Amino acid sequence: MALLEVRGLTKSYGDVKVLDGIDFAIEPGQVVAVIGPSGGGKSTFLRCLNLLETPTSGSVSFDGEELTGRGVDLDRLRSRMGMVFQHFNLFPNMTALRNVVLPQMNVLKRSKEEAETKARALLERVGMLERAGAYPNRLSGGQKQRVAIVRAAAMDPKLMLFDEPTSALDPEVVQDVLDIMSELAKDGMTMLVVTHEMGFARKVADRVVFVDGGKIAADLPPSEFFSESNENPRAQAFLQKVL
Amino acid sequence: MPPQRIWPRLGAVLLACLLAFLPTSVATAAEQQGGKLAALRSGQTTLRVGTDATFPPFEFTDAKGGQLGFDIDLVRALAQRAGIKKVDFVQMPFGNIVPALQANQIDVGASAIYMSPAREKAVDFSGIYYPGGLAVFVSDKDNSVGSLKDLAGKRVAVQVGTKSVDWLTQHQPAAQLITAQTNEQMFSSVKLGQADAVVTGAPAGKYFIAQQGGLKQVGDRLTEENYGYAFQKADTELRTAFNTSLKQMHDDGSYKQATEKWFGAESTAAKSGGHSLFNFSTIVDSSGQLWQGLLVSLQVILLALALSLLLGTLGGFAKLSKIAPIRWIGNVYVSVIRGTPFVVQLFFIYFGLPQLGVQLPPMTAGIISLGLYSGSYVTEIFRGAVQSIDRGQLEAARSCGMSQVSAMRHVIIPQAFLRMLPPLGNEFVSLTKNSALVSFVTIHELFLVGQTIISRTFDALTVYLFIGLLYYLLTNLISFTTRTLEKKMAVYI
Repeated sequence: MALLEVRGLTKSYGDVKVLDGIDFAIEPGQVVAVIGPSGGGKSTFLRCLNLLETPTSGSVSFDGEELTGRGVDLDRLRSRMGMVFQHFNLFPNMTALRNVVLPQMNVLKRSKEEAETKARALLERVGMLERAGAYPNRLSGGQKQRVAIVRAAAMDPKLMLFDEPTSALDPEVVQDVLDIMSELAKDGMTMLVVTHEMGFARKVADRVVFVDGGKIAADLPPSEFFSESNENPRAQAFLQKVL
Repeated sequence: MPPQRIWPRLGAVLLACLLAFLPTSVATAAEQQGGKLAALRSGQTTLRVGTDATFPPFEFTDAKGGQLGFDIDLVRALAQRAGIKKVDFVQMPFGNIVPALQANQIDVGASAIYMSPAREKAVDFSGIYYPGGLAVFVSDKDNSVGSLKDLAGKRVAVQVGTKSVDWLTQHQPAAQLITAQTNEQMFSSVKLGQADAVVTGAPAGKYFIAQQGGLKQVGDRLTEENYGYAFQKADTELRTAFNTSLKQMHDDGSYKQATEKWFGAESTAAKSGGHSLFNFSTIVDSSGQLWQGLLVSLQVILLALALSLLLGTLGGFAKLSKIAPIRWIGNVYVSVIRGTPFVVQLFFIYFGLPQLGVQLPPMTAGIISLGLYSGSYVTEIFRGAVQSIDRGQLEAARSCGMSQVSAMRHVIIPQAFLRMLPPLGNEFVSLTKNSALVSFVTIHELFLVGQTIISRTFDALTVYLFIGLLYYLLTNLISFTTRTLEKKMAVYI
């Protein structure tokens, strides 16, 4: 059974239809790269999955429950679906460690010791342990994003959503963050990654979903998507620009 | 040494010897008689004098709580002449003096008491010791007013709530009334050219002239009212002794000295210590009173500040609410309270609400008004600060599974609070300054205490300057505190 399933998803802002009927499913352990031109609806699609944006119509079910249904405990479902943002969105008023500890204690009701042990272990894995006591304003963009990934991963989510996680980073640190994401993928994390990093999509993803004009225009394994045999004209045009 | 100079000296020495022996011999005689006066003369008992020391220059209280004034001096002198050894002044509300005499709790009532027929049924009075009654005062350079008739068409200052208002309306309706809030403002209005004349009690006018000069009394007193000392009915012995002493003092000129000390022109220099602009002694003498006023002010400010923060937070949440009716409550609160003057709100709460059956003590009314008013500004500060926090913060918290309440509490509000600090500091400076306005509802805070001191010393310049300085220090303390707090909290910026 699919971990996440989307049916007939649309999203409009006034007269502007950003998402125009999306059907999509992701199986446990899969890594899906979502690519496509700017303004094509990639980020909106991702944000509709944990209801940061409310879909205009359609349904989203996750882990066997209907997110869009009435009376659903959205906070509980969101806690199993981590999200990493383009601009990190670390809490600036807390240290890196506290950023990772607070949601664990607040949402999962873990003890302080348990949460800190978990946080330190993960921070160590991403090379941020010695910066655990620093406030985000003392961290570089790459360091912030590593902490943000740890914050989401510490919740032991079943699915992680990445919304252009490297777009705001300096080129030289992009690879560090991508490496960490690759490791997560190797550990078996189910991931949905909106990205412009074609290398990552090619090497790490199991599927490439090409979103354009509010629709999924292609959904292929990377070997097929990036091959000469991909005859989707819009995908061709897009790839010519970014490669 | 010429012989004519020796005799006065010798006389003085002889008189001194005589005086030294006289009280002893009188006391001995009195003890044998065994009356009340005898006990007083022997020093066995103390003469209990009831007074309400809030009426300068007759009797008032200095900043250290000591009683002084014309009545205090005169009663001491009269008692001494009557051979009474110990005198104790008992502070009591004016209205309690006659009942206290009837109940034998005091022996003399000395508190600028008019000798009215109604009172004479309850107590006996000494002879007149000072003439009172209403009189007309004008600038000492003004020769156009000679009598009550001349006040027609003139601007006449009267103090609100005193009998001069009614009396003048009846006896000189052609006068144009200028109503002053305080005794001191009434006199000052003539000196400053805001009024042509003052109609008020003759002793108060004389006291002002003695203290400040610049005015003169014209014509005779308008009403015949006289002050006397009150005694228990049938206490003829004591009353007679006082009357005898009073006559002696009139005869030997010491009465005149006493009146000149409190009502005469000589007292001006003696009391104000020259004409320097800033009289530090005014502040030192009243330091106890000022301290009390400052404590009351601080109490008003701190409690109003707490209420303001509470209402501002609630109001801010209301304005941010997703539920429309709650948002409306927030909007109405801000638009009504911010859109009307504070003084109107204060008076509405203190004077208006009692008509709806809500009677609040002055302190409560003052604090509620001030907190309510300031809270409307804090509401907007709170709302603005919360809305200024990047939307990504809420999204990050919610996407972790944190509830709206948790996200607000741990993520949004702490960040918003830091942004609120500078405007909050400004608002609390405003609140501190507005706290002076609660003096209107008889709260004895710093400003009202200042006015009380001015009514005694007429030293408006010194007192307002000093009080202004205290407010300045308070507001700067608030600015300093918020700045320090901001620096301390801003480690992450």
